Amino acid sequence: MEKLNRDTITKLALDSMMHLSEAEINEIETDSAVYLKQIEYLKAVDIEGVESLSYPFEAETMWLRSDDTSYALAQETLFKNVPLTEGDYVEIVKVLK
Amino acid sequence: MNNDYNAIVSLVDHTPLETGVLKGWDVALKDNFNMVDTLTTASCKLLENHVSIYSAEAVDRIMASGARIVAKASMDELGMGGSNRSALTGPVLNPHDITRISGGSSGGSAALVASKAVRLALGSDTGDSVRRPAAFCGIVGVKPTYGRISRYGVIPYASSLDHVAYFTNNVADAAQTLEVLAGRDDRDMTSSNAVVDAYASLLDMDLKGKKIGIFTSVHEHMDPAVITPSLDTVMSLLVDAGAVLIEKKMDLNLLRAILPTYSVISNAESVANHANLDGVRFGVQKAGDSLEDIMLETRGSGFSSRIKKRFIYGAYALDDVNQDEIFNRAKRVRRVLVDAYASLFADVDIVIAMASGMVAPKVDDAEASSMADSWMIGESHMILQNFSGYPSMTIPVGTHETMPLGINITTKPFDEKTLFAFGHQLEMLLGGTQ
Repeated sequence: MEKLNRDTITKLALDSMMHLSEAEINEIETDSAVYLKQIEYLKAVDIEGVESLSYPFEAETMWLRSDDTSYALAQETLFKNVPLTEGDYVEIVKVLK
Repeated sequence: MNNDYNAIVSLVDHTPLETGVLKGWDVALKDNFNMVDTLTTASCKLLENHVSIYSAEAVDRIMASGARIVAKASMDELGMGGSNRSALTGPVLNPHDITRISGGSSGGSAALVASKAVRLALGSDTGDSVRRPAAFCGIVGVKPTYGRISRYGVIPYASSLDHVAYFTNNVADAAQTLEVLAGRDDRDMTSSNAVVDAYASLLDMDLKGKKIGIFTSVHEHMDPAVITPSLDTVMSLLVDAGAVLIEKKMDLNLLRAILPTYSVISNAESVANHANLDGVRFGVQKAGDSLEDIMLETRGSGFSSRIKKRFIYGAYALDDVNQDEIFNRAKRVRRVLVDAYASLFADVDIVIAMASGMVAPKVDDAEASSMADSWMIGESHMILQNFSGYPSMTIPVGTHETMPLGINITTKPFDEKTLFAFGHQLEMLLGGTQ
């Protein structure tokens, strides 16, 4: 398990696509002590031979539907909250220069 | 409708249908429920300009029932908190004492029902976010079985734990509400096809000979001065009605693993779920010279420091180097916890426990976060029903120094019929509905 220090926090913030201030990095580094101590409690539970549980129930609730359009939002509706659009496209800054 | 408790974040102008089973009911929505043409911010700065372009399935069902939706209610940012102190609009005050909080994360919904401003308020419950505020505010808080109610259109927190849940002032209203909200929705692939009963007409239950589990292991980590009078009253009333009480225990190491398991899984799922909050397709976009800059600036300024901390913890647990030791371990511990909790129901259909070992904290109290068993067990045990998906409801059970306390009732999966019938009987024994 890697250390949750300044370098790791900075790397994870970039991975998560968000800026952190110096104060935020310091706060996370300090507060993480309790979080890491709590994680230690997981080691007191015997998980030998135990499979992961990802959802409460493992009964099937998903299946392939027929290949028909069943539900879709109109482009005009979808564009209502988009900060910038151009024609049929969501506009962002130029990525090719 | 007044807003003395800072519970409302926006008013909704909705003309209800002429008829329906909830005709005449005023309803509030936690601000993470999309309702077309209303502001839906989830108390997050990044979404403060977000107007819903569609409605959640639960909202459609409320509207089809004849109820009138009147307001969007305050919440902790993105549902990630237990106090409502992190709301963009400030803390929500408790209608029983405005120097105290309502609890969270569905704190605005709780205050609006407790103050009788509305008859029903929807919330979401990822780790007791309806059932604990219900205890603090002296009202009924229901989290039905995982999959009972579609989450389509509700801004998520952690998908394997998120439930649509709600508040009412009595169990009969709670039973009626589930009839409206429950049922399969193909737009939420975790929603269930299980039969929905006529809960409101099935509230009778003979308690004579009924075996009730008492989850004593969690009571051992609560302040006896706070809980004992109310708990003793409940147990005496049940015994007098002919019920048989059976002590239920869980291993201490398992109980101490509840909160860490929740922290790891919920933070990991939340950082993945909220990767779409980038300001490109919706939300408050910040300027940048590249797509990467836009996202870094938008997310950096759009989330509070609290949320960013949780995202860092989530990313840490999911990082390749740590994933097996932290995230995958937590998912395996989750199965052990769920199996242990299920075993409590081997000889009973109902298990009860005090919802919390404390009354609502003061607004200015420090945020709780500690290694004490009173916090990690006494105040965290209801997360077991999020891990397991079991239906669970808190009802008022008395007071401590004038502030309300709640008792939590849990039944087997998809047995809300028993949940409501038992809750109604206990409510009657305690003196009836409000």
